[in-house]
Amino acid sequence: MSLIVRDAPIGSASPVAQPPSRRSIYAELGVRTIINARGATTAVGGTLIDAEVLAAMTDASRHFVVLDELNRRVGETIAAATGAEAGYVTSGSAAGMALAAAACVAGADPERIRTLPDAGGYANEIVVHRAHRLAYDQMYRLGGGRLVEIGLPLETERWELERAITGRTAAVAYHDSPTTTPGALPFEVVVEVAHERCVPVIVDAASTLPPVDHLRRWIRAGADLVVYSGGKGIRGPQDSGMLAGRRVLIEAARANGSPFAGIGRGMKVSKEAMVGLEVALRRFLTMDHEAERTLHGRQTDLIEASLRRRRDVRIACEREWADWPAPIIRVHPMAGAAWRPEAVRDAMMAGDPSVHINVERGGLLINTHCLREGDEMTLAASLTAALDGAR
Amino acid sequence: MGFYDDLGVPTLINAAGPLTRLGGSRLGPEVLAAMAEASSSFVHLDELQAAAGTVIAACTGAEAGYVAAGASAGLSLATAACVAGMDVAAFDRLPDTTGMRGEVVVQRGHRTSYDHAIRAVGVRMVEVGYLGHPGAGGTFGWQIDAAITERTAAVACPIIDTPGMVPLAEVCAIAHARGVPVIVDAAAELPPRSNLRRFVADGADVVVFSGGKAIGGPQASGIVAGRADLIASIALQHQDMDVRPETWNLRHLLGGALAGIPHQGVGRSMKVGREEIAGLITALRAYAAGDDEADRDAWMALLDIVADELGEPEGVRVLRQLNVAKPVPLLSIAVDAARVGLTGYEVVQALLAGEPSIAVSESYADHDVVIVNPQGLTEAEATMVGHRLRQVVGTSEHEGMAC
Repeated sequence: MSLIVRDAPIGSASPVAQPPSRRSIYAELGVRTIINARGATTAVGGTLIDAEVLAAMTDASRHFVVLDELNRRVGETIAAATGAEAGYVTSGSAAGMALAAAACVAGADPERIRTLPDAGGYANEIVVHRAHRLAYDQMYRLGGGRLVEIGLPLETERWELERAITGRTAAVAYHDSPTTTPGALPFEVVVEVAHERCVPVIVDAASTLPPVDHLRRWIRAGADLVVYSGGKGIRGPQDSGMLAGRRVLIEAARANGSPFAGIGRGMKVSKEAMVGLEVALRRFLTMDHEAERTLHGRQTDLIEASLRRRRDVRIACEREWADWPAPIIRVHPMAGAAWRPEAVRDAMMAGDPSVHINVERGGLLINTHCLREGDEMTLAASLTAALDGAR
Repeated sequence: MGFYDDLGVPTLINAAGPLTRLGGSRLGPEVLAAMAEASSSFVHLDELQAAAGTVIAACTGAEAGYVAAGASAGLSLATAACVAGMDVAAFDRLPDTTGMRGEVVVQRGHRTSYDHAIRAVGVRMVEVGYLGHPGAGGTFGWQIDAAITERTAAVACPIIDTPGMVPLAEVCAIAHARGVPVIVDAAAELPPRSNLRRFVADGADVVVFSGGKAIGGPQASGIVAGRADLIASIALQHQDMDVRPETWNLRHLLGGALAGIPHQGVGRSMKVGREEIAGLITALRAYAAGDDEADRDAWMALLDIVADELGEPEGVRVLRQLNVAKPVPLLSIAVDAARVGLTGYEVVQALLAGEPSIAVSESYADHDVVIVNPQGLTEAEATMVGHRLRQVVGTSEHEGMAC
């Protein structure tokens, strides 16, 4: 695929010679910006970074440092924020999952680190609920794990976990997100069973922030390693993430990761990303989440109101803090309605400005988490036009 | 003194829906009469099954039909047919599938404990796809296609509302392009009545329904509807094969489709009596001629009786649920455990322990919600359910107890 440059001024080959352009870099590149009502999703840019964080990243880019030293220092902030013994900066949640698996399979043993993802006959089974299977768990396999599934999408019994843990088990993995199928064992049971057998528990909590308390809840409940994204709710660099957990496991993850030559070497974390995550995390801990919540609540009200007169939609809003990082709006077609969710989504995406929403369970899913002030007006207009266009 | 009294087995009021462990459904007088009549004469079971299959085919739009000992048995028989075809040696070897097409492909989100009935025949479930995040995409068609090999006997596609699954029609298109049949478990997917034909119309090769739930047939009956060749294989692996080539009704198959007389097949233990066949066919005909709207009105009237008796005690929220996709109205009763003094499970237990004993649905009891399903209730029972609910969750009783 070739890079399409539209409206590029002739003779602008040397960026240094040119005065800084007032046009957006995206406009210069001919890449459309979008309104994001899908939530903090990697494929549409993850999150928007605040000026304070960007300034720190710029500052970080002006000096050389020992990367391991910087990661250890930011790790202390992660540990303090999560209540864990130690913390570690990764290049995102997926890298966090791979390194968590590598830590549990290979530990900090240089020879075992070298052979991953071949576990070389060592215990490498990672027990996972069938209800928690998702495409990202490939990362556990990348880290040398072999997945052993327990339970069913809608039901799991304690004995299934007890029987699945053997001498070949390296870890038990757990997953939490607003869309997780409700068939897994309660986390307390998982910790109890795993710890009775001296097996660590890894939690993938990538996209569960805010609320702030979700930073601490898993460690508090006994998790040994917790994976978070840095580029979603925390609003750090999009390619940042964190691991929090027991010191011995964090040290093992570190030994498997960049800048060392293990399986994590390609999951490089830059000094700018480490510093950005540090500042974003501090900011996340002290910012006014209630004000954010109020903004997204207002946006929800406006979008809901814009649909209220329609007879071809059924609207359900979920405003509870517990499940989603921000309020969501579900819009389903009434029986006999002329519109199809996929067609409305595609029409909104093709519009100008392009508005991205999800389709789930036969309806539209509008997530307000990443809507900027004013985006809701554009979204409501785009949605109405798309619904009308379908008739 | 009734039969259950005589045995000392307590009866209960079923406000939980047509659940097997509570006895399924009530049989209507025509169904009971047909069963009594059936039991008074002898017939050739294969001829009775063939006749029943014609009725099932007419009601479902399938090529052929069969009466099984419940939906679960139907799944086992359907799987056995997909694995063995018309190979008598394969009939004989099951559930050992060594050297046969011993795999059934299924989307991971479609796994349930009911698929044990599929595995019981000796096949291995090959799971594809993921659950959860809509962005990461639950399952894609290519995953199903990639899992189909020369070892694949069938693709199983139970009707379960897991988000992100590839829809049945698309599954059928993928499987058929590779020459593999699709088995649909639609055990509890009635009503709506339109579902009798829907999954067959979507392309399913064999569909199973429970006979003892919405249809109102005998509790130990089920329907298999599907391709004629698969139904023929089912019959051969299910019926009594203590037959002689000289006199067997199906001896015309010998030397042609069949290499010889089969031994008793893997389905032999899932026996269906002529009474069940007669009862099921009578119930199915009546059900197919019935009307979803009329059923729903009747069920709503029963729920109104329960709701009127119950009222709105303090700390209790009563909600009528009307689900478009599965049109059985439900009454959900949410208790504020702190104010009522009982959790959802405690309400369930109190109703079970009462006189008369009442079973309500505990599907959401962990959220302190109990659900009344009207399908198994009479008007008198609905009144009793509302009355007992009021006694259990109403505050007056607890105020009295607190004194």
